[in-house]
Amino acid sequence: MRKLALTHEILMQVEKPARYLGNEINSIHKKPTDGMVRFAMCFPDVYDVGMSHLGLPIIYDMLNRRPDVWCERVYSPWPDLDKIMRDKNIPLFALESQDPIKDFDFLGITLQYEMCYTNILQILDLSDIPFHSKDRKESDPIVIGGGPCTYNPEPIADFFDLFYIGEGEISYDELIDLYKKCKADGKSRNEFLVEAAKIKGIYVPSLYEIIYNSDGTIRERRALFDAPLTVRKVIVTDFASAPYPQKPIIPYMKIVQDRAVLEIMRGCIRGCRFCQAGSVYKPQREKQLKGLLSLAKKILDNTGHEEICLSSLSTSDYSELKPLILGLINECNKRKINISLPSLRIDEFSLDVMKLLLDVRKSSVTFAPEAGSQRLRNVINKGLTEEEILNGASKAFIAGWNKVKLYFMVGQPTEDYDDLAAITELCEKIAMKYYDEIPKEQRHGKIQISASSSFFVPKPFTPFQWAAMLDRDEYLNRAYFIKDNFRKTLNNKSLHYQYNDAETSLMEGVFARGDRKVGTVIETAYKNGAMFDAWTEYFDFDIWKDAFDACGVNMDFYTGRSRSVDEILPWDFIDVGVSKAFLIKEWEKAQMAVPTENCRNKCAGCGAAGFGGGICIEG
Amino acid sequence: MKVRVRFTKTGEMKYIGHLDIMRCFQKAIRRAGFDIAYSQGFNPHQILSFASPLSLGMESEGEYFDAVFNSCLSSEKMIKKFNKQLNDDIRVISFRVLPENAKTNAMASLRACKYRVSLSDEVFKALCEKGKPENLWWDFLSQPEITTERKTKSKLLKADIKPLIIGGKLIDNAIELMLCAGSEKSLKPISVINAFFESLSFPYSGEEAFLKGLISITRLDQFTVDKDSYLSLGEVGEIYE
Ligand code: SF4
Repeated sequence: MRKLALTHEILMQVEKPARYLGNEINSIHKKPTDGMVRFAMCFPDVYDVGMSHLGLPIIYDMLNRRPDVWCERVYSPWPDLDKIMRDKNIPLFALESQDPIKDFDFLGITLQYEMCYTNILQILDLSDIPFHSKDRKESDPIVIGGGPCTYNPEPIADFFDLFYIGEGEISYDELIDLYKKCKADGKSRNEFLVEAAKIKGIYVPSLYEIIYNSDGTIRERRALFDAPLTVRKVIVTDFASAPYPQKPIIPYMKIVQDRAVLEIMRGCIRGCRFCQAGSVYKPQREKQLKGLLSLAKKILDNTGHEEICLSSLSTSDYSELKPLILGLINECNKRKINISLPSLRIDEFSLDVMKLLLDVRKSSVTFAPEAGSQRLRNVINKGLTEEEILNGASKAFIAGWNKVKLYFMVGQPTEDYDDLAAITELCEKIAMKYYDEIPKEQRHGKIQISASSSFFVPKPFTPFQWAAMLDRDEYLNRAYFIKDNFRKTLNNKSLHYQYNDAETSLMEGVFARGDRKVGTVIETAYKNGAMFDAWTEYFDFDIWKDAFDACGVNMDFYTGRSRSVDEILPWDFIDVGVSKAFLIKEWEKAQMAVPTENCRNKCAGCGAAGFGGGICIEG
Repeated sequence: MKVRVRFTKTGEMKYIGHLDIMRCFQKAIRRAGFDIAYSQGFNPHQILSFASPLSLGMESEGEYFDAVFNSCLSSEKMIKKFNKQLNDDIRVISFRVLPENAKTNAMASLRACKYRVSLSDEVFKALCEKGKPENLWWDFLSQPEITTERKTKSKLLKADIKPLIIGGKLIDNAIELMLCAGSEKSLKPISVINAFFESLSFPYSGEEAFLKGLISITRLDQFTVDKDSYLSLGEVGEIYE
């Protein structure tokens, strides 16, 4: 038995010890040799969540193909173990080797959502690595941030030695080679960082100085040591032949998404103006059908998973969706495996497929209009019309469904109470459709409509990056207004509405568009006990409010303020390929409720064609 | 064809719970491409039925599950193919085909389990301080009644566990226990150790000693009753050639 970092006594004390063993089938164990680069890849949330994520296995697989690198995993110890580790001074360890993180060369942290920021500090704290890049010693690991939150890394800039901006497949090799060279040449940590800043997609926050105006906005960013003024994201242009893990790790314990994941495309052809993923992952790139089907077989052979799911931002837009799904159904039927489809656009084909895969009586059909009125859908450029929704619903009713789910956002730019009233009206129209079109004897009971809304958070690199977010009271007023309207409807027994709480979204609002001043707030909140903020049972808004007060930072400066397009935004130094001129044009079109075509119908000239790949080139 | 698989669970795998082991086998069976039978219905699943679940933290040399296969290779080949999909801490060691008319599964036919409780040096020393270990154990086991107390929400339940102890002996620093198991009457090894430690007025209960790693417990095998004698679940059925 190899030596575990935790004793029998501790493993027997904590919930789900399987989280901390690292002995899963397909996990990669190497024999450490001299000069081997040790890389700890971290998802700063509990194992069950982190293991369900697709991005980390891609890098794990890629780095471990190098014989001179051993990439291992580390997740946030759950609060029960967290406490024990602090009490007993047990250093945080990587799962595979069970070695302390502090002894690693790199600690890579993937940042998938803003509410994990205090968990970054938990990881550093338990690893005994100083919080601030500037306080780290030569022997400390190089701390790298990656993932979607790096499109505005400024609130957490002080905690990282470098950020990797873009898709993991591109620059890691170069970075590791440089690291080895610097080490061999006896270069210091800082010398390495200065060199690393020259690699494509690498941002070294300590090489920049930010100068603020007296109103708190940014006056100037100064680059030190010849660091580049802008950092352009790196992407895979030849996506169809990009490597993909064929032997993903099979966890013993049940995790949030316990299934094989097949990534079919990256990026999105649509230009929804609220959507950051749609913008920062541009251009849309697809994997080829043939490759996907054989990959699916290999993954299923190697994992034995009983479910496979497709991953992309908008599955319905995959150009060979029909043969892909039919091919998968064929393969999965043989193996008695479920296919889980992310919500497809409702049409004849998707309903036929859903009928094959789901129990019509138990499942529901889903629409994401995001806004109630056509006017507001034009503002946000959501290309889904009322007619399409009603037609889709009616087809679903004829096929036997009677449960409908709808997703909305509250607080988008230009929204007024008519737009909110339209949410209820749309739901009522769907209900009427059911009773009008389905004869009584063919109905399977009442119609059931559940609408839910989230609190809109403006994100960097979207046309709404300049917009103000609602304040808490106004958001709640609007949610109550909708709730009230639902109560007053004829079919109020079959129509349900629920809304997200305001606090978490407000925090996201601060982090999403925050600057470096927000970092001290995160640190203060962490020191006062904030951790696992993505978990409602652990999120405590009061700790955050106090932290903002204590640091003299005003939340409203980040959330409640609409910015002028000339303001220097904290993330302006990043080049995601989509030009600022395009975003400004889209922002103006939004005010006039003018939609923009999707990439497949007509290129809108966003700038991403400059990468030389995907839909911009292939059309 | 109904088959019975015996496997071991040692080392780190002792921290993997019963349901997870089940899922681990279901996945291993898919990876191996075995011709296993599936249930009917919307979400067909493999029909695996496990004998009594093993407590977290215990190792085992005799875990069992029954399954229905449409076809299979020889026992020897099946064992090899299983083990290719598993790790060193979980090994399949027997694969047998049960008689066609077998009415009961592993769980239903279970009557007894055998355990080895290994005492750490610390516990063994404490035991020696109280007297000669063999004598202490013998005195404990030969009491007319061995009562244990168990608290429920409302009351204190007293029970005599002696009738559920089929046999027990202390050899060197390990206690071997044969205990009733199955749906009708069943006894956990920890309950016996609790009572033994209490009779010695040890400062910790058996349970505490187990959680702290002062004693370790291995299930050695599981048994059914055949013509008035105990028969290992692994000896039921035939090796498939
Ligand atoms: S350049 Fe045109 S086709 Fe390419 S992503 Fe932008 S809008 Fe779409």
